[in-house]
Amino acid sequence: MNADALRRELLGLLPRLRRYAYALTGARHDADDLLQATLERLLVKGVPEAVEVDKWAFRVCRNLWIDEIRARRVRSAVPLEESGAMEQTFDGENALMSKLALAEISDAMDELPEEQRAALSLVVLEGLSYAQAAEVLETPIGTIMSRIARARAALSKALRAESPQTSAGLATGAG
Amino acid sequence: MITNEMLSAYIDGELAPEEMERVARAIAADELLAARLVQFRRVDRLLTEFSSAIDAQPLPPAVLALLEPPCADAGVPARSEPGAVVLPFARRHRRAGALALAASLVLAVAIVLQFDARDSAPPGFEEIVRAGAVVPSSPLHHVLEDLRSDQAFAVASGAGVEITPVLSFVSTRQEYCREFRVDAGARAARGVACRRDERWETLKVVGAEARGSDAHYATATAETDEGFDAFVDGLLADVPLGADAEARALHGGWTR
Repeated sequence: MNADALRRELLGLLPRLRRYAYALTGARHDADDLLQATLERLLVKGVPEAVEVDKWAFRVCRNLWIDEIRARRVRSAVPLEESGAMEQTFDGENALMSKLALAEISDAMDELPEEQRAALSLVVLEGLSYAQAAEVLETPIGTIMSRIARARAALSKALRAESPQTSAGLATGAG
Repeated sequence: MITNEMLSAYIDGELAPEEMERVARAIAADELLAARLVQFRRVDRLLTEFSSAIDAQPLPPAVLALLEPPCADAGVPARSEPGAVVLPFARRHRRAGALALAASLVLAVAIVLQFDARDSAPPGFEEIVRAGAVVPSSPLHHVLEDLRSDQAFAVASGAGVEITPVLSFVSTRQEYCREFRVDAGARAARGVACRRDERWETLKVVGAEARGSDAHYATATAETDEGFDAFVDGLLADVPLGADAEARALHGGWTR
């Protein structure tokens, strides 16, 4: 693929790649830095023949983030409100609840192991199948399945339980 | 017993058909399991909502600049910048308004318009690249007058000639000027025209044989290009116009 064609592909992929970077980093500025680093890497190194650009881009993005984590050892703790992510408009009580829930999911994502966060984001945000996510993360499908389940369970638990029943159910299903 | 793993794979449609049915039946029969499903789906929804929030934030200019086509990824340095280097033609572009331009590039695919030659056969390469006053009915006049930079115009009649405005600027004489290129298969030329007395006048043209069959402009000899660049840089009163300023000039009929 020549450079122009790659640029066009990446332009179309930009929103998805940015959301993924945001899910990984949890902070807007970190996400944009990661996005930029990913694009630079892709444009300099290119994409191997016979590889789908989006999956390769997600892989590069995630690997760069892991390098960053190794360097920093901590995920950014910039509060959601400061990151600008909360500028969406809501109204009334729902607004407050939504804000709280989003803040909670952000905090809960911070607590997830990186590999669970990456797997969950690829499947839930990007709509990848388990097989595709396995390809991106270079992991067996069974591992992807397990990581996603553990991530969902952990996030569910961290979110405010809607009812005592739900909490009991989560405990029961721990698998 | 339906484990979290099975329930999670059920949400993602990743179980075998018979397993999908088994989990569905279990959910219908078990309130706790149904509640767990609701909670998992809530996680997905919140995660999606949380991550989509970044869509509302503007993309950093540096990111957009990375994805500009090569011909638009560098700017003509301002004359006041010490040590400024004039970049080769293929990399010249407007520095001013780079962000607006970058944003517009998302939509700016190469639009090729057909010239409606009702009155006469469109001129060939030599006729277009001739220096001097630009005839108002000519394709070059239409390009200079009506098209944004980077908008290619294909001269009809199978002549295979394409004209593209490259950049717009205000000259030291306070006139609007535009650099353009003309591609005609194996031949190519660069020119600069300024708006004088309500008409366009081509001040300088350099022509060259293009290298290869690449549709992109292949530069003339370095000497020729350098001479042309120096000429254009000498005309520039300031940095070239950004996309917005160019659009305003275009809609205003290039009057000052």
